[in-house]
Amino acid sequence: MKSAFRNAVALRTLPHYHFINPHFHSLPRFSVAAVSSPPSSLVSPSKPETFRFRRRSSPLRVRYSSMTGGETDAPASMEKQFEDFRVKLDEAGSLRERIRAVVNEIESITRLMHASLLHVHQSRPLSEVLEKPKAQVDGLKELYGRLAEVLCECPGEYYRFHNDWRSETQTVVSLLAFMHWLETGKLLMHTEAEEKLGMNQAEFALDIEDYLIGLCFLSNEMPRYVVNQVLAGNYDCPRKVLRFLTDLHAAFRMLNLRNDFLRKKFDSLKYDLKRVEEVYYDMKIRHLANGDSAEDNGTQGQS
Amino acid sequence: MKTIVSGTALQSIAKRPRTITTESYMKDAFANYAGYLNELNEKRERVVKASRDITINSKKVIFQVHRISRDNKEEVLKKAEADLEAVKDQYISRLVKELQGTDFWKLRRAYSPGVQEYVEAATFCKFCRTGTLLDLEELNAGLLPLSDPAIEPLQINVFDYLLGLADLTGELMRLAIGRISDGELEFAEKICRFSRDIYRELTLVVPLMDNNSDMKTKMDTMLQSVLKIENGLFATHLPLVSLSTSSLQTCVFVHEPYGHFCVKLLPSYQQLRPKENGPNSLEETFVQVLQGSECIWALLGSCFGILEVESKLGNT
Repeated sequence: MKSAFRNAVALRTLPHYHFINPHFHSLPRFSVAAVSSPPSSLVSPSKPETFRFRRRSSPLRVRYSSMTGGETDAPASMEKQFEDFRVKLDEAGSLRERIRAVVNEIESITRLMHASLLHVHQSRPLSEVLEKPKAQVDGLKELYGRLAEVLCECPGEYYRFHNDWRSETQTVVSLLAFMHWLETGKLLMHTEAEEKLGMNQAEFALDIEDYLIGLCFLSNEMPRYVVNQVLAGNYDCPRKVLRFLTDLHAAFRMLNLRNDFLRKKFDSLKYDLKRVEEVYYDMKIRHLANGDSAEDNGTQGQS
Repeated sequence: MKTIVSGTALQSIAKRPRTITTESYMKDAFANYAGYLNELNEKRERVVKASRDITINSKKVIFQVHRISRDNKEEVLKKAEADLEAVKDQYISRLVKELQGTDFWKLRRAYSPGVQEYVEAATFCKFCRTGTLLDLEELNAGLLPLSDPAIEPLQINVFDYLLGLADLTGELMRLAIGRISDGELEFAEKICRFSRDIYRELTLVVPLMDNNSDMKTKMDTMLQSVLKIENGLFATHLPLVSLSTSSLQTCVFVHEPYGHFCVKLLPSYQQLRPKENGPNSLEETFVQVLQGSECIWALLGSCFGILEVESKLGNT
């Protein structure tokens, strides 16, 4: 509004500047408001200059009426629609809060499980390490049951709220897979994971991408595990882990991935594999690996 | 794996059978996952393509609506509506076929841009036709015939609808500016009220949307659009020429865009009617003269008998 203001001031001081003709003072119908031109910066530059003229039947009569007095509220139908939207979105919001409440519980359980599983790096007996987290699995299953209940209230909208519990579920999968691997030396299958979490319903299944990302998290744990097992004197471990990871890596390479999070995690799997290969190589070259000759297998690496 | 094992001859014999079983159980499972992912990705690609086609053709509809002017309204809108119908029949139906009642939310990011554009085009057409907002229910009702009634039909969700509405204000702004320069002020004012209403309603809804970061930026743009319309209209409400008369003297103040100055007229101007059948107010005559000629002064002088050009009022 600066320039408008300036113009107004200029007009007011006009008589002093141009005091040639005394009649100039007679400006009875002249109002500052009517003269101040619009600040040019506010007017769209695309506006041709000529438009001002055409419509004007009476330039002096400022027609504010249609802009201010004639202003009505939004039509009732519009109001109503947006009112409906607000109600709907509010409902979705409260649903989401309930999901988050369950997810928070899931998260605290996974934290406990993870903490217990970390004992594995301190070479505790396996049965002792697995005891606590195994006891938690039922709790997890129950929580997923509650999550299923909440989600079933809005059938077909599973993926609408998916992001709210996605990353937690990936962590859950990685923990379950780790436990399963420690116990059996095998990979936890998708259906097995679903079984464990009670997610084997048509409406409430474990997303395959989440499962796969969980597996990548699992592999991230492996290099540390291998190193610590060797420290504890378990020299056979690197070979076992290497075999598992090689298989897993080969299996992952069957997938055509997009440039997304899963792809990124898959790339990290490669580095985990490399690290385990290095450990195995070190073991082997020092004749520590079980029943092996000193032959170098072409695995690269150094320490 | 193979290289490592084969390096140790003894072990490879002992271990190989186990290796193979390990590999095969994983491979079978992963072959399934690969199939699932391939299918999903291909579907996503097709949905993205359909969405892009919807975007392009909806944009065309919007451009068609912008061709509107004072006297071709009916004709332009008819064509726009026909085009819009074609977008629905050709491209949205393809999207519907792809989604087949599933994955509405999973693939939403893939089709959302196209649907938003369609919402924009449909609401734009409807506004120009009736001056009202096409609501979501109506829009979705129009899509129902595309879906197989046996499966869950494709329905535009609230988010895409609202995002489309947010873009609509930008188009309304262009339309309003066009109408102003065309002299259709009533229409422009209607647009102004309408976009204000949308903006106001959206301010209440947006905080409730979950991931509303792009909606927030759209709100800013929307406010800018509303402001542009308002300022455009504001400019039309200012006089170009104002008049000051007393018994002794008549002064005409000329404002932007014709400058800032004051012209004093001879007292006898009233006797000098400049044109036959011309506009009868002095101001209008003045504006016409100002607009019509480059030799303003000569004309003004001959029309009104200027006493004196008093001064420049501003820094023109």
